Amino acid sequence: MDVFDVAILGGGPAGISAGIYAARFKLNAVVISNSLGGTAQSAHLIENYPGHSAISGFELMQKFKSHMKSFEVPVIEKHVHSASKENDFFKIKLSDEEVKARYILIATGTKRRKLGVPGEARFYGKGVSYCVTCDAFFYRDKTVAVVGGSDAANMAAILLSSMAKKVYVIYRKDKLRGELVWIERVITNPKIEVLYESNVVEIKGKDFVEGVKLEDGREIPLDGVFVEIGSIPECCCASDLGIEINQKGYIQVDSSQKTNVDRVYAAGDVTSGSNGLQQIVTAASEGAIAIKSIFDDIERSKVTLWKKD
Amino acid sequence: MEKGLKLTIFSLLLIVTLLFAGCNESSTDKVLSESDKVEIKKLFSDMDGKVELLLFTSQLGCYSCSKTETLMKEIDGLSDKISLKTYDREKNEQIAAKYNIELVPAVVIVGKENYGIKQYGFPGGREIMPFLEAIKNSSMEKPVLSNEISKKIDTMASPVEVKIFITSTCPYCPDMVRGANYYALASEKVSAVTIMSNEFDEYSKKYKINSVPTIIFNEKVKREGQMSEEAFVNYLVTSS
Repeated sequence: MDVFDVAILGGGPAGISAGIYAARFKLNAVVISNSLGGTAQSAHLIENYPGHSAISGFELMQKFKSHMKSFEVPVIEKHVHSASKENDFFKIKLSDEEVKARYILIATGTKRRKLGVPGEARFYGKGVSYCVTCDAFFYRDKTVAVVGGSDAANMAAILLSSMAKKVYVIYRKDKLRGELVWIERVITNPKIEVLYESNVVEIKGKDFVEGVKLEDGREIPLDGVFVEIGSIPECCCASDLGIEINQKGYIQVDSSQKTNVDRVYAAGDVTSGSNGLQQIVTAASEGAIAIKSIFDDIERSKVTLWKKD
Repeated sequence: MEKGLKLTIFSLLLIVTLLFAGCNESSTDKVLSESDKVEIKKLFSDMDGKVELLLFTSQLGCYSCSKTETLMKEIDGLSDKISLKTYDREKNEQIAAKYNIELVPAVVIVGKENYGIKQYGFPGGREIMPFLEAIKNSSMEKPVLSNEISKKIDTMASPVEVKIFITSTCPYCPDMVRGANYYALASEKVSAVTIMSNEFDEYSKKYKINSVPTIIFNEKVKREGQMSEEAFVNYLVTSS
């Protein structure tokens, strides 16, 4: 079995950027991801990635993938089960094979945060959705709610307003957050009504969603609920390898994207990096920095070996 | 490296205009741009055997028959390995019944054999890539399943039809379609039917589809959202 220089776990913006930089540094790298393109693919409109004034997440990630493919970086589209350290290399266990690598770069991103209220799991696919670009179509001329107040929630409300009869934005704080461009579009849209300082405590219905109950007792009749309340890090293999996690659950990295474990780096939304700004542009940047750091580390180890000889 | 299910073989990327080909419902005279055609020709350049596209249309209130026919004619013209046969469903009831055509437009992809790969609705937006890949892969040698998966598939008691409900704007749907088509190619016990939910309101309501991707195994098991290959194979077995 080949031993790769670096196994890049994750195929979102950080992982793909790392794959491209690994190819440029002539590292023998492999990208392992069961969802190449990552969660960035589901953004219906991206207006802040330099070079593209307006592009869908899917389209941008196709360009990322196409770019990496041009460097012939090997990709294994499988789920990572676990990782262990074995002397000079790491053993990464996939569903039906193992991969060996001298370095690991964790770029596994985040997964969607759930509300955790009664009815949410029961009505998933029956009125509860986590993907506006997938399911907006099912709510033509219907009444829906977006729970959340960040950029993703604001974008979701705008997209839904083009199809639905009425869109509520239900947010726990007294004003929306994120980019002012999106906030302005939400609050000036006649189809959108923002319910500030409101928390959903239950999603109600019989066979399908029929409404939500708020903390103050109000009940809002609805046909669908889109949950956009942020994400939580997918710290793959962190406990297997003894990787330090910060208080918020993200992998702690230094400015070189190095973790506390020798030869393990991390990049993108799964880390504490980039001052907490979780954007495609910062993830791509961290992927590049991590690979440069790994390359430098490999070069340094060669010098050390030579000196020892 | 073990070969197993590697969706990478499907990951040929086409240019962006192709991804959103045919978004304009009003135009039926042309779907693909010249640059799309160049990329698709590249994709089809190493096709092995012949592939027949059986297109079923109807004069009776079909939303996208005309545009789908335009696209199929364009695809037909991009490889001499591809041949298109068009049937009016009402005038060809026996053939439609043979392929169990429930909706129109329908495209049945027949390669070296009929693998049971069928598409209902215009395969535009994000569905275009898995659709083109299915044409190409139907012309190639059958994929070989790993020993572990083969053993599970062998335990299937009867054939399973997998229905994948999608929309053209869903980023998670293409991989589910690719996965189902892959198993349809690899095993004669599996057939894969892709349904563009946005075109078939009544049919989607019949299955109570409110979210995509939704996958229905043999009319028995219904699961919403993405699923792992392992879960997919397990549902194949349990629904057989």
